[in-house]
Amino acid sequence: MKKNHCSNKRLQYVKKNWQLYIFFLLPAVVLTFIFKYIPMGGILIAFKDYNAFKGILGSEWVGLKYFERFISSPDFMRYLLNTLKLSLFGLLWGFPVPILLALILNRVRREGIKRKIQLLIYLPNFISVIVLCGMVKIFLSPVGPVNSFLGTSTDFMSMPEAFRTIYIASGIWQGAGWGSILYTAALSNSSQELTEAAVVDGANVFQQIWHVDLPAIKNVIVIQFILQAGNIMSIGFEKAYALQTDMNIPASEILATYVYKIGLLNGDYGFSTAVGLFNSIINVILLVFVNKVVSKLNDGQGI
Amino acid sequence: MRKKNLGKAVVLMTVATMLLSACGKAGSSTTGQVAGENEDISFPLEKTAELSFITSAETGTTQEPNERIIFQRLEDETNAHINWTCFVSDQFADKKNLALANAKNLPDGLFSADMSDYDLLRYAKQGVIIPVEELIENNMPNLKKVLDDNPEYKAMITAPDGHIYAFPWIEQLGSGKEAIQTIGGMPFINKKWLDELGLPVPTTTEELKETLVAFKENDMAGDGQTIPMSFIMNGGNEDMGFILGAFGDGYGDVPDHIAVSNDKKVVYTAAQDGYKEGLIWMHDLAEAGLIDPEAYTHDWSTYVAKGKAGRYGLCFTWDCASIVQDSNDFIPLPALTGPEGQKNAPRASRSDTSGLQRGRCVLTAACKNPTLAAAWLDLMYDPQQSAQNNWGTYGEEGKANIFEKTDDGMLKHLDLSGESQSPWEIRTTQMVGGPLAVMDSYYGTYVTCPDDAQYRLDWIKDVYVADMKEDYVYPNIFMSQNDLDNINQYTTDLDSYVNRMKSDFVMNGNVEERWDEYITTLEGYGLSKYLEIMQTNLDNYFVNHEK
Amino acid sequence: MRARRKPFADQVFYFIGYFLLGMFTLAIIIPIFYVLVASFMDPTVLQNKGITFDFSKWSTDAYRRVFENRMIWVGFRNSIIYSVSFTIVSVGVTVLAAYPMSKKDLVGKKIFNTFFIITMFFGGGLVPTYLLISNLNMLDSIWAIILPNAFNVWNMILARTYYQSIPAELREASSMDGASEIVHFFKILFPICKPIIAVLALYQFVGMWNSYFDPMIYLNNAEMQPLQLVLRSILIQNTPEPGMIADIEGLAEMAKIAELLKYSTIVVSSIPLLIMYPFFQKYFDKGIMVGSVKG
Repeated sequence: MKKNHCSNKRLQYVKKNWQLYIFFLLPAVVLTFIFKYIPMGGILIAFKDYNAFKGILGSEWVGLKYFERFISSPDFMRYLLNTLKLSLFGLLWGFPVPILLALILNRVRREGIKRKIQLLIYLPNFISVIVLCGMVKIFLSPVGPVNSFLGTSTDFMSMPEAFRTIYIASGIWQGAGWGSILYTAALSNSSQELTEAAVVDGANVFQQIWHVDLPAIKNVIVIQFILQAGNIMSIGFEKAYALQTDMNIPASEILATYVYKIGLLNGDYGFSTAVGLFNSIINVILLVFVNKVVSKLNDGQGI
Repeated sequence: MRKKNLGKAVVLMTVATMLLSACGKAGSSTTGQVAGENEDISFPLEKTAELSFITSAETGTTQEPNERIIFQRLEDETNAHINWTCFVSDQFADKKNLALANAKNLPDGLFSADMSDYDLLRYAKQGVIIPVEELIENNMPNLKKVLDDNPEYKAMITAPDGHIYAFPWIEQLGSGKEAIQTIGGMPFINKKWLDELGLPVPTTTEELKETLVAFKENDMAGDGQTIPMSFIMNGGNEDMGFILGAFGDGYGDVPDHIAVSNDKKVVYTAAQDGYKEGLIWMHDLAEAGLIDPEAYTHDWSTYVAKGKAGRYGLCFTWDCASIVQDSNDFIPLPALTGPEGQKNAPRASRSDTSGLQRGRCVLTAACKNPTLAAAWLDLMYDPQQSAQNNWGTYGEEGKANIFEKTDDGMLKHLDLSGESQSPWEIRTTQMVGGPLAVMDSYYGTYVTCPDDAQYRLDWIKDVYVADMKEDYVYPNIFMSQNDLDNINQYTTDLDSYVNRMKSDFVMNGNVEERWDEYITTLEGYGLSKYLEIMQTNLDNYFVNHEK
Repeated sequence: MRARRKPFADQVFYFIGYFLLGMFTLAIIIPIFYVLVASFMDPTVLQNKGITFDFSKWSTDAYRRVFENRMIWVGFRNSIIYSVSFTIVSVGVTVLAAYPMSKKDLVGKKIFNTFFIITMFFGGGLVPTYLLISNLNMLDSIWAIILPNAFNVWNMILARTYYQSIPAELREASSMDGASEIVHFFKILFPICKPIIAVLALYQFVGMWNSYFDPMIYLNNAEMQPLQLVLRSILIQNTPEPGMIADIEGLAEMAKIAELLKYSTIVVSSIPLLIMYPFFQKYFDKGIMVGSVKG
């Protein structure tokens, strides 16, 4: 019977390759189960009035009360849109930069300069968000260096239109160098011989990159893109909060900052879990969608 | 196909396991004891008893509270040993909430709980903390006396359901119109510059403008560094709302935008005509380049840095000593008279019963001997114990002390300027915080009034009280959970909009044209509903208070 | 010998490429430089006059304060211990798990995939995790820091992608030579994968180095605090609550110190990473694996 044959074959595989399961996979599975799945029951807190004495199951069910709380603001859609726009544009603008950096750096011939530049561009990654925002404010102040340089006295931080640009540009500034590490490492995979062959064939640099370098890192690019798309709602509140001023609120109030103001300060776990759940669901939807689209474009290779 | 089913089964099984494990966490529910037995507990105890508390301590000071001399003396006197769990103050909020989520390891109480009204009601409802009014009545003579002598405080710490859930922190400095919190953001004007220019202290809004212009034109700070007027827009005590009291009905603006009219109606300051007129005037000043261009966005440290560099002609803050180079150069600016002869010194909400923190100390349902705990905590309300817990102590050998004990037994604040450590460091090393009450009546008898409080109280009394036209301020009412929830929601939305428009109006003007739209938008955010809740609570308060 | 003609396209590439690179690097250097210089300056002067190279206005006050604090050294020590152990454990577990997941024919692959990916999105959150750690008696121990996040799905996916770019023939060859999976992995695959392993190691090391929230929640003993937590405390401790009736001048003084320390703390916490980075960098270089494939 076909069924038996199938399951037999699979069992055989497992027996033969037991090492794969016991040695390679088991640690990860155990860790995941203990530290991620066991606490997962906590998602229920999003629907309950958590009481330490009654435990998670015993606590009173409040249904969608928390969801209502943050959705009911008249500006909820605006916050959601701000979040999405910030993430989306951040992804669009920010995604190619590390790749470009890696590709260009890869072609720099002088090792010494290359190393020094690499070290430099990784540095901003270590500046904490708070300090970064402090610096941004100083630089963009009406009486600060940027304004002096341009000869104006515009208060950039008070302009909602400018918020997104400031946020994204500072993000790229901070993260692009660090992000390029991954691509640099993947590029080490691109065959030297292939490049040389291409040169002999008369290919110029652009063509070399297109035919040799990019294919070598294509899969990494695809995966990174999918993963980042699936993180769109997870934009943290810290940076937006730090860059917020009274007047750029129409653009700078994102879901995370709003939620922080109405609930998180109270240590209300039900509320924060509900918001987290909301974000996660949107993230999953986006991930599945992007994965499908990209897989189609990439011969079925996705997550 | 089968693979998928198998997959689903695995997931389901895993989910089931999670739920089961979530189940097992329910601890045994302890019924909250509201013991009020008239157990006579006298210290020192015959047999050493133990209590466990959570508290906090500032970074850089000891994280072992039993190393503090105040607690050592207490243990010697009472024979009660306290097992402390101490969290560093800047991590306290997060850790406290987690500790309270862990039913198995609850201590007897939280000595410095830092609980908001919301926290108190929520934890009370869950049965995590217990009501203590019986304990106060039967086992806590010191606290009972404080509350009996000051019934307004008793009203304030009572929850809407009639219970008292926490022991308060009270530091009374003045009361009524003379309370130190009456005016948060005081205006300070650079007297030195005025003298150099031969100008009098301005008394009207017109004169102030002329003075600011003079500051600017004469570049008093030198090097083009003069900033005639600075503040932090919407920055609490650094906001300039005070001088808006010269316009319209004189409510000016206060951090929570709430005032009370003399016929006991709640007023939203940011929707008043006077507020509008005031902002028009401010825009005028902005146009003339008299306002710090960074006022809309700079933070506290930048604000201070500029002040310390001697650049300000007029600034707003709690106490100018923290902002300016030399506080002797500045004096508090009295309330100005506006274009229509209006003059008022706006009062801040909740200021008439100054210095109250309701949720300072709580007992949990895990406390096995509440009577003992209450009796021990009552020792903190002894007048001199309170003073020490709040500030520091005397007679600790080899260390800098906050007090010395005078011959007639009074605790006298020492002059700490000669010490190597800063006064704040000395204080945080010795003090223990927690529940306590320091009343106005104690000053001069049990303890001296701290210097920086005294001169501020004097300022308020000498410079501002006469001009305070408001008879009432919104009291520190303990509202129901429902009200708190709704208010929280409304104010988040409203504050966001109001703050933004305030900056916008001052920066960009066009106030008159945009005013109607502004008011409509406020309504859209629920302004009337918000005020209704506030009014109901206020009315109830007056009814109860007049009893 | 390669033909020496330089196509015009090449020149264009290098011109634009170097220009962009140069601009980007400059954009990085200027603010970094600012941070460095600012860490030596008095905050009042800094805020009012901007950076100055008038050395008389410089001071090493900020650094003195940081290094005089004994806890900084404790923090350093702890951070190194945590970061190294975490990196070893995490990269180990992740890289191992990624290997079977990269095989096309792995039985149960979809199950495992779903099992792992779900955790990327859904989690119980802070309270249940905290309770679990508490119940396992892991509070105040290094395990609370290392274990919960040791296996990182994102990293696993990256490693898996990397493995997939390596031809399957490699495994066939070694299998024919009688090598088990374990042997194949360590003897053959591992050396080839140094770049990705180095990257993941760097990510995990830095991630742990910069983290403060988990240590804050799970470690109460001050002696176990990592560097970031100590720095954060110093910074926050010196930011007073305006309005507190305490010694006002003292508080103002402390706020000034906080400002002062703002920049020096960044420098201090970044230095070890700067020192360490070149150690990782050599693994990113080209040409490590070429040749072994053809054989």
